Amino acid sequence: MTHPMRVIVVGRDAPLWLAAASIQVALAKSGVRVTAVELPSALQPNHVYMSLPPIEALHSKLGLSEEDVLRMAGGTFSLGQYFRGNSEQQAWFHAWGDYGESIDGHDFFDCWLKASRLGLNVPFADFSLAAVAARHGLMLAPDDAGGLGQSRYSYHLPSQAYCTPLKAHAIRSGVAVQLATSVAPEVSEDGGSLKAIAVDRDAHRLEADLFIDASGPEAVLADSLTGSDREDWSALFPADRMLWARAPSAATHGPYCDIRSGAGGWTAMVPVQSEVRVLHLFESGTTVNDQALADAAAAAGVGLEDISIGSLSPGIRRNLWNGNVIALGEAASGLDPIHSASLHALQLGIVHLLSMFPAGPDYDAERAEYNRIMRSSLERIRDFQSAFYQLAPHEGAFWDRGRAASPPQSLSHKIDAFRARGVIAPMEDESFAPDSWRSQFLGSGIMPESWPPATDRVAVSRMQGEVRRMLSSIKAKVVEQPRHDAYLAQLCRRRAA
Amino acid sequence: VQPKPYRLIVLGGGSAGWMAAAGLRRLLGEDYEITLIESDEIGIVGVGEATLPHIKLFNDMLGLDESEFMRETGGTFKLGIEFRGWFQAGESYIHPFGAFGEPWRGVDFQHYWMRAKQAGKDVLPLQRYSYSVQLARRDGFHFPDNDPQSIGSTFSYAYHFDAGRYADFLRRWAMQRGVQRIEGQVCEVLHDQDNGDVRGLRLKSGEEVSGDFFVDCSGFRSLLVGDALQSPWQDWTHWLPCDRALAVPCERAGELTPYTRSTAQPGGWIWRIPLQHRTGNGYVFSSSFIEVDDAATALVAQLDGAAHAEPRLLRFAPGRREQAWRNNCVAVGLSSGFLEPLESTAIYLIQAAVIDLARLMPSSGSARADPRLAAEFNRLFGMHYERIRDFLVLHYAANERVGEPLWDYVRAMPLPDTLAHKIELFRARGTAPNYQFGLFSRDSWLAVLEGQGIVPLSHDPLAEATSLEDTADRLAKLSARIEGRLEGVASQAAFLADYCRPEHARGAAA
Repeated sequence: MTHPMRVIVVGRDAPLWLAAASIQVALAKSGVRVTAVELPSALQPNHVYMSLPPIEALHSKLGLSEEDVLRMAGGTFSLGQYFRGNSEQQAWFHAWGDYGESIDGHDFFDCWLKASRLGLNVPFADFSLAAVAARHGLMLAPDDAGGLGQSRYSYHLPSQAYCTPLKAHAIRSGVAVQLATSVAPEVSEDGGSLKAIAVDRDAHRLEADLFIDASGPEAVLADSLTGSDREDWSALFPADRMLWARAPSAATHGPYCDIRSGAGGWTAMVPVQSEVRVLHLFESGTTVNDQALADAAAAAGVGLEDISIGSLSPGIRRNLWNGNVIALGEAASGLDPIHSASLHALQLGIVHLLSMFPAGPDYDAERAEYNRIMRSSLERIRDFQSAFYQLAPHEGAFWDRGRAASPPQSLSHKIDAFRARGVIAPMEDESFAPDSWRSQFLGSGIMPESWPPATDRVAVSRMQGEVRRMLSSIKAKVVEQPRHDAYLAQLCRRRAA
Repeated sequence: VQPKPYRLIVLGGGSAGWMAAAGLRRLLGEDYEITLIESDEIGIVGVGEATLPHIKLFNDMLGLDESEFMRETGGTFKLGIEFRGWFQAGESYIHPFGAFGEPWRGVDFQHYWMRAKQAGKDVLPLQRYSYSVQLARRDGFHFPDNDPQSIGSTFSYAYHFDAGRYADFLRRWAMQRGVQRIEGQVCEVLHDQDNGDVRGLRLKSGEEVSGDFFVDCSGFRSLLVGDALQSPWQDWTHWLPCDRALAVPCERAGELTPYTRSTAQPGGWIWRIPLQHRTGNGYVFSSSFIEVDDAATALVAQLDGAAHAEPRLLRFAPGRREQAWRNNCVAVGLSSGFLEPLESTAIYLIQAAVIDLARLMPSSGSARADPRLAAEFNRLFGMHYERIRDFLVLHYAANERVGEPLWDYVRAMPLPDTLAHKIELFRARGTAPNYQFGLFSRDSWLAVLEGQGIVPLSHDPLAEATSLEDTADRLAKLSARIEGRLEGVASQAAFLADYCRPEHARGAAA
């Protein structure tokens, strides 16, 4: 064995445990030894992790069961996001899954586009069984949803509680743990790599072959090396502050994240078991904290408790893997929270690190490939998120700032192609599926000017018949779905029993 | 009021013109009127006789009957391409249209193979673990098994055919379905004075053919997109120095091999494409490194049987247009660019352009072509060309033919960054490139990276989750399964003789 054997993960909270456990589980048999150096948590009791659907695959690779995660974290399912503005026209549901079914080999979306031009007045989201179920407070059970709208779901996970099973699992898997109140990197003479870290003012000195920085925005290891500069994306994203709060649960909540846009920013109501967590984004230049709190409370419609305010700075580290240090999660990139992609970005970092884990003592090629693919993946997420602000139909200085940014060329190309023809220009390394892009573009008020001419080969009567059949099939299927809260309760009980 | 039809003019016959006309006729509605102009006086290049498996999707889309298609075009089955002497004299490998082994536990097969090899286990060459390579080496053929568990399902196939006959076959198909054909030679391109769009073509006969949108399949001349609209040329000669080809058909002889053969030569390489009724041959060479007469002598000396004609000389430049779509004209085929036929990509590039064009074609009611749609078409066009270019350059760059000037040049030339990175990653750990869009697949890259003699220093450490003993055991079982499935397999000659009998055609069977 010649590949690096000793890996130190320095960090906190979910990024620390997910990274350490993933490497340990995948590579222990290859002789890799993982030490997690745990810094004090940065989490507040009001925080919540919002995932994207692929997190389930990461959990299952680790051997974590869904029931355990949801029960111990007090988490819930999410089938997507419900966006609302000031009017009915500004409301749309972004379901994680697909929409509709193809008609005689023609993409459903193209058919929907043409049918809409011919007078069909049914929103795109009404062809997603998941979206319809979620709006009715129903869960789309994974097994029995063949055909129309397969069940793709994510989780809302109260952050502190989620870390408990993660940490226990990492330790069970063989990760060694070192507690630390502080960590000081010992940098090589040329500044290009780490020799060791000193824990708690030299109480311990730990050496390793590879260091992973999962310490969040502090980037305690990554920032110590030369070439640690960041590319600033804040021009694309108007918010620089986020307010977290808790709200009592007035009623049961559907399996989705409820997002309302107001003049000063947007507010997400995130249901977890037993309460709602609230996240409000705003810009400190135009909105003072008290006003932001008032805005958040007004959007939530209830009094808020346990308020905290943090800052965010969107951007990406130029060298995500620099020397022998790999920055993961928020140490690598700051993403806007609008599409719940932060945990997903962490997962991408872990997955690509595993597939590019050094095979020998020299790993320039692996590092170059990792940096290439991560950069591309994060830019595609940036584009998707940036489109939300670029195209937002809302009024107010916050939204004006978002619209004023000049979009990346890859995004303006995508917007143009959609506007002209309804196509989503295919690009490598996308995290959001074409139907997610379509959903967001439509929700932002773009109606494509034409459809692929091949769609005209489907007879209008055939198209109308299929559209009616899909709608009635969704209507029939949706009533068979369980209520979200009942489904959750049963799932958690089953395991506990 | 019936709107007047949108008039599409395809300029040029040959495979590009008739694939475009047939494909667009199949994909577009009756509100598009398609007219193809071809000249009986201008020959077609017609060397694109070897294809990739994607052609089957195109034929299936048209609803062609495979048996009839193969009979009509003198077609044979193709499982891959044999590269002889590319790494060094005497070496040979096959780039198959199929997998190497199977992925185990989500890790690519070659990592297990490399690990066992690097640990000194007694393993077979990588080529022995590809079912399609072994089927090809035995000159056999069968359709891929339906059972995905069967090792006999791990490949797809393409065809060798007579490109002239294919164009004829598609011409009949298209004309039966309403495509109009005009015989004539274009002598003038007529522009809209205000915006520069092409409005019509004047023929030598004096006839004027006007249209709303033009598909330029005029071959190397690139009459519309190159000449009339001046889309700039990107030259790639510094990466792909071959600029000439001599082509000659000959009598068929010997076993009917189910693969194309490409044999490296001092000045380039020689192709051999077996059809039912003849064998196509050609020498692709660089005029900077070998004289045409010497190339002709070498080519004729390697023929299987008697030549049917004198070798015909073709001149070309490797590269592509900056934009294939300008104004209201799209170049499809050789008018859009040229890559030497080393990996049989010419017909694939036509097919991809037709499919992309159908999706991005102006709506029948539109007054002008939408530049936003052109931008997307051109982005995809550039991606297709650049990915193939890198793959072709790899065959040249990684060689050990030391002392031969052409090969010494390509071994030392600076590579595109995108390719250099792929080679370094493979050398470090045996990871083959994997992307979603465009050619080529991970298995194709693996075949050529390994075949060109690049030896990985290590393997993916994730492969070590399986013990060395288990790995060696699985490798042994895999090769036993391959050998087992190959037992009693029919030769392609026997398979074809049966399959191409007229009663196999769908119509006759009914």
